[in-house]
Amino acid sequence: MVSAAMVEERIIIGLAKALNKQPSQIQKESRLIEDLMLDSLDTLDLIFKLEEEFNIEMPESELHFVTVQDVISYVQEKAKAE
Amino acid sequence: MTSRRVVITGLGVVSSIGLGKEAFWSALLEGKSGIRRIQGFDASSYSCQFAGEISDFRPEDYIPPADVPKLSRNSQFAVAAAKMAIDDAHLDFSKENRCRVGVAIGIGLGGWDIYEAQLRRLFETNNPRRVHPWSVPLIMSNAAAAEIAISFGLKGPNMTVSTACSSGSHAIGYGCDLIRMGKADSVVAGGTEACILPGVFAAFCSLRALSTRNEAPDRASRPFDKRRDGFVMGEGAGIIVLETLESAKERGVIPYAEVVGYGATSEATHIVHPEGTGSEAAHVMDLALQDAGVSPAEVDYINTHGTSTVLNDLVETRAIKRIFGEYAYRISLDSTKSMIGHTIGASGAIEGIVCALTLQRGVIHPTINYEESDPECDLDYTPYQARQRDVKVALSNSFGFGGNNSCLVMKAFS
Repeated sequence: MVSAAMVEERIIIGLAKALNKQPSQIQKESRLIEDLMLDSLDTLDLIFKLEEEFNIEMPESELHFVTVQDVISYVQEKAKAE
Repeated sequence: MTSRRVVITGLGVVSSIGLGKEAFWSALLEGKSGIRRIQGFDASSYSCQFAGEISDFRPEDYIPPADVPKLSRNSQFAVAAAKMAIDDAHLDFSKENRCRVGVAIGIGLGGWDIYEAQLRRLFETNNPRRVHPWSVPLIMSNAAAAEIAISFGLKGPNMTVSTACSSGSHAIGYGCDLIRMGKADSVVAGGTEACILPGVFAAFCSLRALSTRNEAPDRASRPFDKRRDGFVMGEGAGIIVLETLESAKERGVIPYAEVVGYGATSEATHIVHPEGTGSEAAHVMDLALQDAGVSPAEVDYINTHGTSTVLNDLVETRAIKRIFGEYAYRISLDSTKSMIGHTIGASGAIEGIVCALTLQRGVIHPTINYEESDPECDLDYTPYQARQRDVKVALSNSFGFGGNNSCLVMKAFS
């Protein structure tokens, strides 16, 4: 069973690594594109890793993330459903 | 055609015997071999189990750490060598018109480290969603040239040349042509390759092109020696800065050498076998000499293609005799591949760098492992020891699978 806290931790650490930042610099209310400057390849890499780690599928039609919290909530829901 | 003169003002090398031109040059003069048993994968079932692998390259020394995973190994080599060359040339692109700076990079394969790893994932999981989304931009063969342009903001012509073993030489020749034709004022040119990988190696082993001297890897690359038995795979990158003589003068930079001629031909006969009499290999040298306006008797030094395959070394020797006649015996020859192996797309560029350093410094590096003379390969290949020689004119030969031949002619800068 994947805990909600574990999902949050993995997403923040993953983003920090991709952006060459410390996890403490990633705020849950940060916007992915406008604040964190995540580009399209970074976003695809994040989705790829989340799908693999939590054994979920994230279809294009469901991806409407603006903030880090949006990603966390989505993955928590998905992981619970799976 | 304008007569703009093209000079070399910066050098960058990533090789199995040294990172950077000075470490590389010292190792060449010492006759150091970079050939060892393969560490990157288990090669124990392969007919050839050794290569010129680079063990001390740290990409984060040259590339921002977060960007390192976004580049295949060959692109990492290329960006690192380009940085070395640009620094060496003392080029500050903020003072240049970036639209007039081109990039021309030779590569035989591309990002096959990524390709092999992702294919393995696909077949192991049987799930196409497990193939990483960055695969295409990392695998594509023009990635190295694009990453150099992105790293340094170079907006001129950006070309990738893929002619197997002659790619790096053609890229330098093409870069010179861009400057001569007025399409660019300077070009970051060279070649890169990183294909010491299980799939690529299996393919070359099946072709029976590689040496099988597994008991003595450092003695396996032995160009022109009678007991040569195939080439040895290497990896690395060689990148140079080409610019007009005028711009080098304006910037107060003393060039290493001038590139005065370039020949490019196709043998148009066989996909891998060189034409046996040497007439085709001679043809490209003849064209390059004509382009340079240099007579054969002015040539002091030839950096040979010298792969250590039975046929290549024989045909190259015959070709040199066809062009130079009796004078061939008075030219100093050597093979850089005797030490670093065959770096495929990088080889012609690394060997172009060797020519530039030889012209500047007046020393011919040795051809190592030349122990038993072959009656049919009887020229002066500079065996064992480096030799002092005042070199005014140098040639660099590169002959690629596909029959893609290239020859560069360089002159000492005075």
